[in-house]
Amino acid sequence: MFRSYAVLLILCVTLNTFHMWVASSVPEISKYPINGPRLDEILFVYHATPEAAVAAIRKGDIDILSDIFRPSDVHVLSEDLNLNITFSQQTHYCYVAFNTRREPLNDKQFRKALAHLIPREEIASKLFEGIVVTPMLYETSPAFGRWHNPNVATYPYNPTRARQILASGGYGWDKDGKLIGPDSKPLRKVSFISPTQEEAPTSYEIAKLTVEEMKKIGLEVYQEPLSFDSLLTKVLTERSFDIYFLCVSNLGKYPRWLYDYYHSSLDVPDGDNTPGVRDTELDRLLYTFRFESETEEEGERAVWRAQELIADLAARVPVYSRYQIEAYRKGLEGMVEHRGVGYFTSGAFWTYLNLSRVGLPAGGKVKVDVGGRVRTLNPLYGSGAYEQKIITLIYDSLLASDPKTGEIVPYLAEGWKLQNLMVGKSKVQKITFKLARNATWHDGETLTSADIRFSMEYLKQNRVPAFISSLERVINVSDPDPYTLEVTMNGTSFFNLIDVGGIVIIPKHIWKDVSDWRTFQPDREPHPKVKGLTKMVGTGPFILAEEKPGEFWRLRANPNYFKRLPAVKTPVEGVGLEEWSLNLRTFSLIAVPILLVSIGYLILRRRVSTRI
Amino acid sequence: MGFKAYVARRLVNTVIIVFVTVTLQFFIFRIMPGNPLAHFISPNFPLESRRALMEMWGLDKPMHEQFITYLSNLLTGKLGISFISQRYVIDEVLERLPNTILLMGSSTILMIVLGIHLGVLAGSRRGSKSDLASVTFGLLTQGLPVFFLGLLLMLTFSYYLPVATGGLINFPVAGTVSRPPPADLPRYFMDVLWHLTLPMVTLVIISFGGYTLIVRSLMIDVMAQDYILTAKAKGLPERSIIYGHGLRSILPPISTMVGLSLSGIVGGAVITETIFSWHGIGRYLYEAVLQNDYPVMQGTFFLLSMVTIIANLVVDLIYGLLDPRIRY
Repeated sequence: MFRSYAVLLILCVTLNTFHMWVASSVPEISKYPINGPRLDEILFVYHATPEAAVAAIRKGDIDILSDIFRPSDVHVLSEDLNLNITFSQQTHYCYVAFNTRREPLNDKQFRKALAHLIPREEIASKLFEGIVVTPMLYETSPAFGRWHNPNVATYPYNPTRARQILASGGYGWDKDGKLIGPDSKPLRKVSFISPTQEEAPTSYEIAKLTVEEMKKIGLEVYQEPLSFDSLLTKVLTERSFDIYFLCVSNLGKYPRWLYDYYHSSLDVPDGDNTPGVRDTELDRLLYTFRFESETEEEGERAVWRAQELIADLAARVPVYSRYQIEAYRKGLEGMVEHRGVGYFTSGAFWTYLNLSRVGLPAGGKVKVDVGGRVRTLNPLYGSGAYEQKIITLIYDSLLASDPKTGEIVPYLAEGWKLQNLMVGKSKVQKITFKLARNATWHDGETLTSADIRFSMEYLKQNRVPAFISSLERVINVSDPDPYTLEVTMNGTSFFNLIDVGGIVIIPKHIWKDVSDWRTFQPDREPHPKVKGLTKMVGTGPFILAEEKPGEFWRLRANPNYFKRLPAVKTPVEGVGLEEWSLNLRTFSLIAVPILLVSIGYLILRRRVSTRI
Repeated sequence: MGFKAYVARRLVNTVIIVFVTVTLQFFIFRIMPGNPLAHFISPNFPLESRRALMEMWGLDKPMHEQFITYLSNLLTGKLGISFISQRYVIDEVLERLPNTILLMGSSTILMIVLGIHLGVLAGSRRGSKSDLASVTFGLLTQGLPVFFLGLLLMLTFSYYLPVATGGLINFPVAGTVSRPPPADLPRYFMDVLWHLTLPMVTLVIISFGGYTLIVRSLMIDVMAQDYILTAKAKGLPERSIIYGHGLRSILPPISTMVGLSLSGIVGGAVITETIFSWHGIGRYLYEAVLQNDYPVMQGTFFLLSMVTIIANLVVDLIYGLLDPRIRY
């Protein structure tokens, strides 16, 4: 009898372990583009607090939750057997910046010494329990793939090294241990601006810890907590700061922000070069990377060298990067990890194209937490991460990118040709796109090159803020035939293709009558011809079926999608993994108590018989 | 001075107050640190894009031009265009107003009824067990932080109890309706009530204590008056003495309290709306303040101040009806 129960117990444990392994493994997808959508419907729902969102996924109200940032939530969700948790590196980082215009921070050696005083490990372990962030030493993190240069100067926490750097730079200490400058005069008091404890408790604590470290080496420094708005005004507009701490996220696939952050032309009020970096060589490299590199290899060389200079300048020192932590209920498959983004968040386009229920290759529904307030679904204005989650499933672009390598892959444009030309003394680039012939708008109209031309001209003429930098180099757009588009651009940068290939494509037949693009709300106006549709007409894999702003947005699969599945497979008959798992759990629930009672009974009987 | 002259004077005062309020609302938000661009500081929005946004929002224009635009937006009734959503503020307000009126209206009515009833009960039976219980409960609930009670109720009734009872007791985690909502009207109505329960209960529990304590205190004073003693000596029933004579005479201060809470019915409850993801005015206003969305802040505060000013005016005018001693 004992042997039978032991076998049963081992069987239960083995099957449970196997089930957990199967459900948590994420399939590898190597070829893009892939076809879809597989799901019939995606319902995006809004929760105003993390408590509500976490309760909703645990309760089964939703299937997918992104942007989990509290260690306590990670603990709770990890313990839930119905959920899988994913951790992805994302293009986010928090940094300490120094004002290089002011003494003593205008001294590179001084900044390098301070950079060694940031207790990154302590911050990660003490404030984030070592699970939601990773300490960061590089301005461009490994999440950027080929664009990340690992061979640059780094500043790990090392107070001894900081003292050595200061000493070698001519700094000294008075009899009270206070830091004195190379001119033997005491250094002025320095302020460290941080958000307030109420507004951002973690950022406040990080600044506090760093200030303590700086005080230990004899620097007179004090923390100046400011409201987020005041902080930005002081830093970004007025430039009246010494040191500050801030975070930035959604840096994109390419380290283009380096140009904005370090080029001297952006050292102007409201420009992003807040530390005031002015370096001719760095300017040249960043300009080459941003506007002149004809190939990615050329761009890579420039940006790698730029990263070396940036690291050596130590004007902005990375502290940590937050993981993209996401949870999903077991029973889903086909999710794709997007480099620097994660599996389900904004920009995880391939996941929603390929996602399906286990045992149901096509069909089914999922409920997804949208993450935050969806402000507008106007594709020209809705640039926030939450509205983009929805918009990118409704509107397509000419090109897409491989989620793993970031390599450009065809999408609405099935192919393209680049021609570098000389017009007078200027270098220009002509890009010829060949469009997919089977792509249609949600209302059945055919997508033609006239739509793409209209989109580019409309965005450029109206100076739509989100697309200004993407289209600023476009000189001319023409559509020689319905499936060919020619775009002529200034310069021969490899970003030309990426910029025009990524813009949103809007239907000419809807948007040509829009009087003011700014106030146009396509999701709230009925379609002029097709009943049941709104003017939210795209070519994307999903159609906006229903919405209640502030509550939910229901998307249904586009049955005529140009990349639809070749043939919809019939659902797998029989018991799926979920039911099987449920049966196993029910079985375990019955078997384990019986086993325990039997063991107890046998022990008791043996004791009784021993006494007798 | 007669009633008509009094009304005319109050109306003139009201117009002046409205103008001062409207002007202050414009300048206060602009004096506040920060600007709306702060929320567009991202690598996706380089400097030239942010400058284009400033032009689009009209923030590149001189202050007097912005003030004229603001006044004309108020006069046209559109209340301006939100920086964040690019929708007319009035459209966004009207979308949320029914939800807020439903939540705040129902909870305000319940808290007034409960608060006054318990206050009268406690005040008329000073020193009794019911008095002690009302005061203790009123003080306790009034001191509870709303975020604590809201989260406690949400996690208990929307997560732990549903899981423990297998869904037998199950309140929604978020929203004003199910997502998606039921198609037929009766079920839709029930669905709204189901979603309303927890936020409404939270607000009632938090707020009724204030009414109870004030009404109790007023009732204690009134019950010690000579005319109450006379009524008792005449042998009037206790119910008639308490409600007919006692409560009647404390109606003017109660009406002031009720009048002041009217702006709350329109203004919403920021924390409760946030905890229960209630699509209402309170959260809208809170988000607008965080994002420096001037048109939304100006528009909603304009509406709130109008409701408060009008409610005060109405309360002043009906004072005379409630208290015959008041003469204009």
